[in-house]
Amino acid sequence: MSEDKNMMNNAPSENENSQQYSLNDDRRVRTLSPGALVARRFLRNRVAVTGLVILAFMFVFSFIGGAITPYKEDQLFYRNNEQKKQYAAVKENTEYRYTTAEGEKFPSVAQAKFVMAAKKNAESFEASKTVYTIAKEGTDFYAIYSEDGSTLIATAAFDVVTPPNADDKIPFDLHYAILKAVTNGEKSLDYEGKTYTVSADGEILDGTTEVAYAGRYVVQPIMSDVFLTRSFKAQLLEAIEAGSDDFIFTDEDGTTADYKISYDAKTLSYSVLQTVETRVFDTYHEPTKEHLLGTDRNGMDMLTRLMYGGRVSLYIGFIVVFIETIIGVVLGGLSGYCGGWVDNLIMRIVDIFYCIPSMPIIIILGAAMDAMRMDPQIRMFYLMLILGFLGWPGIARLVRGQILSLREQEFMTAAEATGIRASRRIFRHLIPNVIPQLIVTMTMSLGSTIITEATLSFLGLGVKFPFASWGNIINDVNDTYVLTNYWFIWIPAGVCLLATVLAFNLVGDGLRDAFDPKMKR
Amino acid sequence: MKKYIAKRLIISVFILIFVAFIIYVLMRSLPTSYLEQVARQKSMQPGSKSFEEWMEQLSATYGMDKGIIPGFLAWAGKALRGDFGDSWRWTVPVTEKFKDSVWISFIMGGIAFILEILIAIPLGVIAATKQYTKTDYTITIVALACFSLPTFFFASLLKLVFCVKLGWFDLGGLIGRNYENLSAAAKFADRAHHLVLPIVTLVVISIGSLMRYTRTNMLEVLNADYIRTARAKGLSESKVIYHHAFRNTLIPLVTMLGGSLPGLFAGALITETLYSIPGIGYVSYQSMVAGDIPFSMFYLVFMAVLTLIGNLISDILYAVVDPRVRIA
Amino acid sequence: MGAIIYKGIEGETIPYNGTDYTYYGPADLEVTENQDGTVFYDFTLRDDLVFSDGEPVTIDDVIFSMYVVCDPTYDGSATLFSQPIEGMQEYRSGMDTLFNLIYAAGEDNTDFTFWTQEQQDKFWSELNAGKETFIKEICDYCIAAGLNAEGDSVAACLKNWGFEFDDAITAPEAFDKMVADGYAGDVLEMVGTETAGSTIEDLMPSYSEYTIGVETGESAPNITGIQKTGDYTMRVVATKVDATLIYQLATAIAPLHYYGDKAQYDYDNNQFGFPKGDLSMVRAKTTEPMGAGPYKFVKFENGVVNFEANDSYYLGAPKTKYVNFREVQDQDKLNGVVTGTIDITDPSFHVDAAAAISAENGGELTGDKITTDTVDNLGYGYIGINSHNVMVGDDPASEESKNLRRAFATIFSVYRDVAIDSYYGEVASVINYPISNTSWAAPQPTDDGYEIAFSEDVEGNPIYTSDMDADAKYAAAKAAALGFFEAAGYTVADGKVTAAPEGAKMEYEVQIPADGSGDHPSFMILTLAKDALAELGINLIVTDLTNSSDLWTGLEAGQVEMWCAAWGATVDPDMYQIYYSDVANGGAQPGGSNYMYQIEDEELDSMILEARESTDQEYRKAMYKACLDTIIDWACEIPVYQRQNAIIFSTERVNMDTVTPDITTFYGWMQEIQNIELK
Repeated sequence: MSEDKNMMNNAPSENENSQQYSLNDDRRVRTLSPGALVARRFLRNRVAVTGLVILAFMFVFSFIGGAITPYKEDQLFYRNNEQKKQYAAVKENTEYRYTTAEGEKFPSVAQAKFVMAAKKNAESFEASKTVYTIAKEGTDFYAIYSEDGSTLIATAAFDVVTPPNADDKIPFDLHYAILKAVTNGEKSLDYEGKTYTVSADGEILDGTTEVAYAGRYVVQPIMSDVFLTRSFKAQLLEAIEAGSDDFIFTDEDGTTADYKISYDAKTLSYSVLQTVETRVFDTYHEPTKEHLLGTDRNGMDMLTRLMYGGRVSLYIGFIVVFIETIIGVVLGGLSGYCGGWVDNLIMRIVDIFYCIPSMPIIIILGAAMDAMRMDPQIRMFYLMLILGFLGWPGIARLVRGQILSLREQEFMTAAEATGIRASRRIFRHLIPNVIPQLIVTMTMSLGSTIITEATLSFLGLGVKFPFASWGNIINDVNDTYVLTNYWFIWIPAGVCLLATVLAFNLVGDGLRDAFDPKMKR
Repeated sequence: MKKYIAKRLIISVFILIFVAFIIYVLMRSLPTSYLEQVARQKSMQPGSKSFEEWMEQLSATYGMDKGIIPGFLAWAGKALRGDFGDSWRWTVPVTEKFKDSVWISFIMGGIAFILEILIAIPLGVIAATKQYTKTDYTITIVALACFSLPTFFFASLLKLVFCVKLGWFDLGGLIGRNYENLSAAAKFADRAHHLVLPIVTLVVISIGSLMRYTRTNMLEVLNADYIRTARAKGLSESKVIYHHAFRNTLIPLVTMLGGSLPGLFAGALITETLYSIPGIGYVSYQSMVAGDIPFSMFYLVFMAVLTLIGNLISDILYAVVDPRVRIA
Repeated sequence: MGAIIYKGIEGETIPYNGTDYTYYGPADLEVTENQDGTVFYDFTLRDDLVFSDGEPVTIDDVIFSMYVVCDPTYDGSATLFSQPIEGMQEYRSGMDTLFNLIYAAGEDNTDFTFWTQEQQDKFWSELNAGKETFIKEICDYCIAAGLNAEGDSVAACLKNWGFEFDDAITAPEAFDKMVADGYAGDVLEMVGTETAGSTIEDLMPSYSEYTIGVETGESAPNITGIQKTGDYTMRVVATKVDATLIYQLATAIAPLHYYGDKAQYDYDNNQFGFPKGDLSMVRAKTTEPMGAGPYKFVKFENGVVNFEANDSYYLGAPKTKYVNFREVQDQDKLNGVVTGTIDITDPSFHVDAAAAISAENGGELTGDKITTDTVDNLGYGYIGINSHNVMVGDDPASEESKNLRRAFATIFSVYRDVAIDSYYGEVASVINYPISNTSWAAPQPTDDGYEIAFSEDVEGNPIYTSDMDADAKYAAAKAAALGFFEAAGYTVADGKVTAAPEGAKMEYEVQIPADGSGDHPSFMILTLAKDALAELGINLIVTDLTNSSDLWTGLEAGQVEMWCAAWGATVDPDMYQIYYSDVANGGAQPGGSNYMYQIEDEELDSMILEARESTDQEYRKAMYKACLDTIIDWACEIPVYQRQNAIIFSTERVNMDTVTPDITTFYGWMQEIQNIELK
């Protein structure tokens, strides 16, 4: 009988083409590994999945988006603004103006010394080792000669002599003759055989052609290649006399040009301002097709900066938390599990770390890195290391606390009883039970690290300009004018920050729920 | 237990000395030494002594001409006698400046603390009991939103809405324009009025994490076997939650709250700066940045003391409240 | 305009901006320049000034205040002690001339800590001989004048000179007695006054050896240059003409009875209200100031300083009883005025701020809600280049070195416009000379010889024309810079620089303390310049320092090549501090900040000294123009911008008619604070 049974049971030949059936549980119910279980539970949690999606989006936005955007993070954009710029300046002259003869030199030191000499009514003065003699030859008009009085080096006068056209040049000697005539009130002057008449208005005429004109008013254009015609000056002076703020100049062809006049009480001079187009940085530009989110305070594209900023913030968040957690879990675990002097020692170190203030360390580090002229990318890396290093005590205490209570639970006693070795006990049995709390803390840490980075940027210790991070983009929000008028500066960055941190927390929540074996669903 | 406390206290003293030394070294190595700044300013003025001469004079006056270790011992010696010196930046005795600024921070911190407990814990409990319902989602998202924004962002928004647009509050400061002309009761009301926005800011920032923590703990507790037993016994839901579950949730909460004692005195740097409140957070940051050693030493050592005490209380409470925990 | 009011008591009327204003002050001042180069400043104080606690103000309070700020241990911000006031050095540093020391020690002195036996012997032999000569001269003079007869005794002759001595006195004894009795031991004073012809140099041939100052550690008991001449008058004696001194004399008058101790004040016995070298009494009151101003300090609490009107203010009791000063964050200042928390404030003024203010008013800077007053800031921004670190070879003054720096300067200058226009718009202006526009010595466009900074190429031709747009200007600047590089000795090929000459580099660094946030108008200039220079083949490294003191430390150590910063100006444009190098003496005593640019030009040094030693404003202005031209020539400083500061008033609450009219950089709104009324 038994032979038959055996043969029946063990004879596969009859059942070659049929499937193997077994009564074991593992073939009856589809089971999954613990990890897969967690994943399934996680995916069933709608909120957590939303969080995951948001996170994925953020990652794609920051990393891939940053790679495909056409602009660079710190690329500047320009626009043309209209601004009033100084075109000319007008003043009634009360200081000496100098003309130097061809081939002679009369530097500014000499001019200064001359002023002193004129005041003291001296006959000569010395400047830069050259001696000059002066002679007063009219009201507020001096001629400056070389030491022996033979060569005329320069003239100093309050009156200004200008030719009527840009191309005319008045030779020095004629200039001198004109000044002499004008300051002495003469009606005519002789020069190189010709006689010129001097009119009451200061015009020097050769018959009826105007050769030059002299006056007390200085009308000086700012750019040296601009020439102001006589009619311009005359119209301008009229406008100033009338005390008006606006001045419209009509030249011979009838074209008009608008100018504004402003008076500076301190220097007693008038500025003639012209509205010109100037190139400025394209700051606070509204969103357009080229700049989907507008430009920021410095004229850089917001969207690109958001992408690059996202990279920085995400990097920082992950790396810092990673460092914190590794150190914290290891030390906290050891401390909680071993107890005794190990526990004491580690906890005391934790205490010390708690007491050390982070601010001075960060300031010192910042200064040290400045001194070493570190590349900004490496700076960020070190910053992260330090933040992580300062953050592990919190995690360690948490882990230790959990382990202290878990250690006494029955399943641990059971594990010990079954002879599982210590390290396996810690890492396979104890720590997984700490994970729920740990995950929540980690995700919150991620969020708060990103915020800490933003705060450090606010204080100037974080990511440096021109590199972007969400933290230093949001900094601009301090100014209420920006807040109310330029929504595109802060709302996108705020939304990104909010969404990312929120997403981290939601995922963390979902994971916690998924890990918990006692969950209802 | 008593032995444990005693041992901890003794060790704390050693730790304190060690920490004080580290802090002193840190302060001395700060790049912007206050003396250097002052000396530089003075030497830049016309006809003044040179920078080195000023440094010598100032170092002698302020006692900084010793090395680090003698300097520390000198400071420690005086500190043990209660003389913490004069603050360099604020030119008044350190303890005086500290007293002036710390009370306002403490009041703000204290009120914010109470409010946040009162708001966050019930919310956390509700969110846990109604898990995965709309209430839960709303509360979670709102709490997380509050928690996700940087302080200055939130404070600026509040200022914009409530001060500029609605005009309900003053932009900052501790007292209003006509403070001097008010009666005593009105003065008190004025100050309270000015503290509303800062406290709101502080509360909003912190309820997020507290609420999540509560919720997590509550969830864990709610899934425990003894809760199932209580329900099976036929107790009403509210008794189950508030009488059984809640008390067990409190355990980790209480220890966490015990450890936040130092936080009350630390002040909130950003909030105080933005609302122009002369509290300890702002004052201590300014001192640190300026390299004012006496004030910073006093403040940081004070904080260290509080931290150590806070940790100790936290540990003790943990052992007291949870009988399963044995601290050897 | 920073002018000085001399007749404060009756008031001086000076026109400004078309209106005549009468200015009052607490005192009259008369300045006398003497033949021997010293200057007397005679002050007459009003006799009806009263401190806010009722105590009248006398000249003792002024003298007390001066002594406090001149005390050797004073470490506040006044710099009266560095001025050339007679006796100041001796009071502060225990310095005395060798002459006085040897004389005081006596012939039998054996203490040779401060001089040698040889010196002492020589001194006494010469002096004793000199005494004889001196007295003999007097006697001869008297005899020649007929007052005495030949052969009269020394005493007889000296009687006619005004001195009563015993008949048997000898010449040396008489000399000593004259010094001791009439001149309190001051030999020089006696010789100078009583001489009949010889000076001390005549009497003692090696006199000049004894004029050196010797530090003995015991300082003089008083400052001889500060003299009380009456209950309300005093005189300050300066040892030489210094145009800047008069501004330093504007010290605040601190009340003696409050900050010092009246019992310790005894002018004649050299006691000035506090023990010398111990200012603890004064320091103790730092937090509770008291004075004679329009408002008195009540208290400082809750971040607010409370002031109450001082009815005994000499210009009239203030119209508004209470004034509070409150510390406010910059971004809240404008909102504070709009919402009613503050009435008057000074927000930092740039394009966004101006836009915000205009928005409040509905389009203009001054309107129904806010009135804005803008004044030029007392200072200007610049980019600096250290001549020793950026040079060719080893001579910072050579044309090659200057050309190297000019190359950089031209590139920096062309980008100024775009950065300043973007950051400040119309509320700041680009300046072309390294001097603030607030100074009367600043060259104006209407002045002769005014040029736009660094707008010429190597040959001196202007590179910009008025019809160039921005890109054309940049191209012109780059071409000019290339020319400068070439002239400096760099190898240029295909429009790029390929190699540097000896002593120069292809890479330079510029530091800018922008707190790491790039929030600095010059930052954009540097960024753009970097790109432009890269096109030319030069690498410019831009370093943004979080901590500005790192920059100052680096500058002091002489390690910084180029940097950005700003200067705060003073009323007087004296350039000694920064540009004086004393290179003629091997740089022995340069100005305190000369180490920054290290401009070492002998001619510039002498010009600076000359400008300082005159008080004629026209002359000084011309001199300073010459100095500024030299500084630009060295290309060590590129002036960038001059911004404006704004004061905003709430039009709704402050009665604008009562506010100080025509506010300027030097005449702030607080000058007439007693007149301001609220609506």
